[in-house]
Amino acid sequence: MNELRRILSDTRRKLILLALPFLCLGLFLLEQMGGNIRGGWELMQWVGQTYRERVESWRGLEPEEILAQAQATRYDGLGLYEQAEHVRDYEAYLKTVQEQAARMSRSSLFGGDKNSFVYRNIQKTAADFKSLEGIRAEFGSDRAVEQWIAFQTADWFHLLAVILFVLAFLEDRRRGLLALVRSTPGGRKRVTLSRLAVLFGVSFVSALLFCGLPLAASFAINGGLSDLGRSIQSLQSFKTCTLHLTVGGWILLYFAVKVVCGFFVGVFFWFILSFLEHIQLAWLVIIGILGAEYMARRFIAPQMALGFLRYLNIFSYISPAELLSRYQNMNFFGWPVGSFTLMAWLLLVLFVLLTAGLMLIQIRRHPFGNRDVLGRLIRGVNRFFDFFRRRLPIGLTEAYKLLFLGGTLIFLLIGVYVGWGLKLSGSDYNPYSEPDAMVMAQYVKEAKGPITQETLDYLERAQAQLDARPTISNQFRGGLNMLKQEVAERQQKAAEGGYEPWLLDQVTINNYYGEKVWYVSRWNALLVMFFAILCAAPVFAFEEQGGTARLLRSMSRGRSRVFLHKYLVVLLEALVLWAVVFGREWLEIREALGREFLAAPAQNAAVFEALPVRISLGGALLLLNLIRLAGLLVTVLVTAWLSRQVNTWEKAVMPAAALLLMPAALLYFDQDWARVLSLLPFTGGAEAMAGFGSAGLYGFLLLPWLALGVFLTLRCRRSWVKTA
Amino acid sequence: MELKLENVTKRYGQKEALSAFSHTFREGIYGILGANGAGKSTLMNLITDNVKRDGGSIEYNGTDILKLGDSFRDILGYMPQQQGLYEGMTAEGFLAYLARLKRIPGRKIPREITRVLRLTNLADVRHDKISSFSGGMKQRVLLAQAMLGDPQVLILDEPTAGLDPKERVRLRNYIFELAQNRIVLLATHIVSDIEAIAGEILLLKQGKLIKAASPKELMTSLPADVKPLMGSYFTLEDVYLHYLGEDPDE
Repeated sequence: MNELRRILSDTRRKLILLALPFLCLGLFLLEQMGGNIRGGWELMQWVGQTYRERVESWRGLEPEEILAQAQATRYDGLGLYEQAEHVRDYEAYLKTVQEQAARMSRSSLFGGDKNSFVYRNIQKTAADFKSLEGIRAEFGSDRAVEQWIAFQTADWFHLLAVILFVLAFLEDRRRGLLALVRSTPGGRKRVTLSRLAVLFGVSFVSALLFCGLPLAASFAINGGLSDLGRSIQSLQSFKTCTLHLTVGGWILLYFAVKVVCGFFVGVFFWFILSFLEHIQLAWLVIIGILGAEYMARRFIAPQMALGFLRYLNIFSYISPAELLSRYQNMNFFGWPVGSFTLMAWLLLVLFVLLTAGLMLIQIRRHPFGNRDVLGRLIRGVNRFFDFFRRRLPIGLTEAYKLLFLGGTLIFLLIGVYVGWGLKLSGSDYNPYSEPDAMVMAQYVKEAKGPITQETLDYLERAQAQLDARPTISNQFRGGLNMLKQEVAERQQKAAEGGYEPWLLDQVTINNYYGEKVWYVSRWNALLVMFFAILCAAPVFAFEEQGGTARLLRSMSRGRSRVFLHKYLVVLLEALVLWAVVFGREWLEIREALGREFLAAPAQNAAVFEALPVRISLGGALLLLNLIRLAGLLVTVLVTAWLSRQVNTWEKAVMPAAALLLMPAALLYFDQDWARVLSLLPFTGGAEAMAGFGSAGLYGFLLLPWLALGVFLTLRCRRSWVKTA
Repeated sequence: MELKLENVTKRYGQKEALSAFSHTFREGIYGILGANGAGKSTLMNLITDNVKRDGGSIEYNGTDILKLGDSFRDILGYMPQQQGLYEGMTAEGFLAYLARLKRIPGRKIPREITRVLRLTNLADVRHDKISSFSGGMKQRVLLAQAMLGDPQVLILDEPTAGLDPKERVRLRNYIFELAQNRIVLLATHIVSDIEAIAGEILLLKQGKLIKAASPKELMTSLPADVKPLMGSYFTLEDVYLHYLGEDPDE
């Protein structure tokens, strides 16, 4: 208990541990909401309710009857048709396995050598599946368990919680307290045993939270608690599972396996980190092992010669669902052994060895004065890097400090990863629901470009073609009429505004910048702001926390020069985030519209109609992206100023989140009054552009924000460069 | 070479951390003695322009250091009391970075790093991460960086804290050699650190300069009525305790 109390006495760690279950649950719900916070909740509830209702109404029917009823809604994504198909075919599948085994055993290719692994594997597979005869797959509510099992992010949360505690075990070494702890009567064996107990407890609680919460949520959404008594083979994903368990029994087994595996993985990391005295090297080894194992898991197919590496892998313990749900034998000196059985034995052997090794290290090995075998190697590596580091100019050293020593590299990488996966446009202007609009979109594809006599000729030709076919569907006439109206409108507006009329693909432009899809750019901007804040927050706080600010400021280049480079680095980080999301969008829209259309006057696009300045479409998009960049830079400038006022990263993040992210989040959730308080319209871009035109002048609110950014930067500069 | 402080005052709220401090420093070693909170670090921070003074002036060769700005910092070597280091850097990486901040030309940096690492006896661990260093080693890294670029004014705040006796003697001798043509200000509360090398000792108490004299003068400066109370043999430490108000028998 004392050890647990010590570990939890760290406020930062406690906060992280408290936040993780909520984050895990939030991500599960987000996944159920199709990744869409706005409207996703309703969608998720609708899907859950529809699924529950259909399962209830089809319960008790024969599979064939269910299939007949489900045929109409086969492609609605609920998977009920496939579910019924599986129930119908399961018995036949079991028979097929036996028949296939008998056929293969008779063949000279597989059955020739009775002592071969292949032959034994065929026999074992047949025997294992034989034991399933009599087990029935029943139709019922599967979705809750299927969705939960597919949510592998929970495994990473479990791992993270375990690693956090393992790192806490190493704190005494990091803080130079190892000698003190070891000199106390309970400082060796008792501490090690209590840490093992803590680790087991953490794995248990983590499994309960990170598996239990999403499972509870999944049942709440999709129902299915009353169907836990069916055989696990009733679920499609468990078609090849040979465990004789009910769904409920399988869940309990999975939970127990998660606890044991989490505990084992914790011991594994703890052993490596304790065995290698150089933390730096230990982490390299761990990252190396995880990297290699992940590659094996990701890229080696089960049927490949090295297929066993896919299962004989640390990730089998991190994500044990596959081991427990799929039938797979591995070649163990010529004998087929079930992957789950083999991994369980391996876990037992490794666990005993690692725990014994860990106890020896913690109790018997002297922490100091040992032969520094690896020290030379580490020094060699450092010497190699020092060769380059010695030559780093101040700017690059500042980048190195912020990214590596300040730890923002991780936020930047996560930001880039998340940003890369963001959807850049909506489909709210999709014409496919309206037949006329769909035809018009086709016409636009052919006729788009400057509206000239050629365009008018095209319209006439199209009209003549339609007139020649009186029986053609009315939607073609409707589509052409819409196009004619659009051309006339563009011509009229261009004549009034004094610019060249162009026929553009309004649908594409609207799907990126139209008011109905502002939620997309708002969400993207919110995330970019979030990561920009995380990256900028330590820029000065990190120096105060480490006590290096005074040292730097006592040097001739430690003031203006360092200040300038610190700002450059955080602005570059913001630029990277901006480029990953909005730079990518620029490339995407350029591709979607066609480069030549960027030369069209911007007012030809309905979304830019009200722009008060004459500008090309390309220019308008450039302006829009510059506004976004300006919004993001203000975010960074405000955060950097906050960072100068405090001495820890968290203290800079919290007010920055309150000041910049809260109003942005409110606006995202349609609290329009928050628009004047938020930078989101500018980092989002599209609505700020609309704000420069007829919709009002709030686009000009960017100017006070910019002024604030500049003012705070000057204040910050003054406090760093001039006397503090 | 002259560093002149005149009526320098610094207040933190109601508390006067340094009160009308005046003194002129020329080439040589100055020991600044005082208990914790006497104002030693405040004085150092004022000279390095890390805190804003509330009054008075600090001039180097007749020009205010605020006016001199970077050119004053060019000739300044500062070792702060707190161990402010980038733990994730190697000793060499750290010194290379600070050498650049000190405007030492790039081609001279490797030689300069080797020189200060040898002086501080850290040459063997130059490629080790600072996080693996003991407290004493970290102290030496800080000292090494202060010596980078051969500064004309060396401000050392508690430089011997955490050093073993051998290192302390080594450092003392080095500072003594250094001081021939530069100003060295050495703040400490350990009398023996400066007893043998300081040309002048400044005694600070509650932000006030109460005595400035050579060690010899300090020894003879005790009032006649106090000497008999101290017995036949007394040291500079006893004098220090006398002036700072502590009871030597305590």
